[in-house]
Amino acid sequence: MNTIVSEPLAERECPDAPQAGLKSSVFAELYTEHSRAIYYLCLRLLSDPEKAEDATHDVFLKAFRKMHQFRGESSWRTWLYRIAINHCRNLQAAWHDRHMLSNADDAVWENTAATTDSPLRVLETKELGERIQKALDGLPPEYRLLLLLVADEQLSYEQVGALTEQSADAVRGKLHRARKTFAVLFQQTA
Amino acid sequence: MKRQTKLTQQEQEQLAAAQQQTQSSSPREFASVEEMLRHDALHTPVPPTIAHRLEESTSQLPPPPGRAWWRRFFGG
Repeated sequence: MNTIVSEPLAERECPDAPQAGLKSSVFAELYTEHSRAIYYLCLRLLSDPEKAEDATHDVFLKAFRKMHQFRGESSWRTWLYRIAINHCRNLQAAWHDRHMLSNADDAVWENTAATTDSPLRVLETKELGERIQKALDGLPPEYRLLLLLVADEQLSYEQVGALTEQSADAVRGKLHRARKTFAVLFQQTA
Repeated sequence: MKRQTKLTQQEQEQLAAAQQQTQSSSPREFASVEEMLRHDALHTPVPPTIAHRLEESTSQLPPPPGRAWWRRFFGG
């Protein structure tokens, strides 16, 4: 059995055309290296483990079909994230997501005394995922996506900006409010 | 500037498992939202059924040249 190499795929040259044995090999490594990030994004965007599982499957199936079109203009990670974001958006549009907050709700968080500079403390890490999900569900969709992408250390602000169709400076600017809003909502889940 | 990690997913999982053993249910403090989300992501397992479903789905597509990825992945 071949060894899964530890060099990040994102930093490797991608195949610009399918070659014998390479396509399947790269896909296996692609799944091994990025499935956790893609599943986590789908899970937190869709708020449902079963839907996240379906979405992750569909994202990688799309990737499998489209791998030969990947030209290395972005990293594999970014490419997969783009597929996942579009897929989740399509699903959410179809479900008429009822939990979205309008921008008008931002004022609520702006006027709330949130201490984003202080550490976020949790007494019980077992329920952390549930609390995070509740807090994320209360965020405007743009903030939710920004926080999830910025939390991935493999992505730069420029890459997050490209994925969310805005400049890196705009990402930085919105992050402050996103963090503050999240902190308020997270405290409410205690 | 964001810090770039060189850890693979497998290494991250091993690290998370080790951390989990030492943490168990003790209080935990996160310096930032991002740190909390990273911790959560590391402790959120990917359902193994996804890989199995992908194996089935891709087997119905025109076979890629060379050894099938899932055989390599699962050591078959």
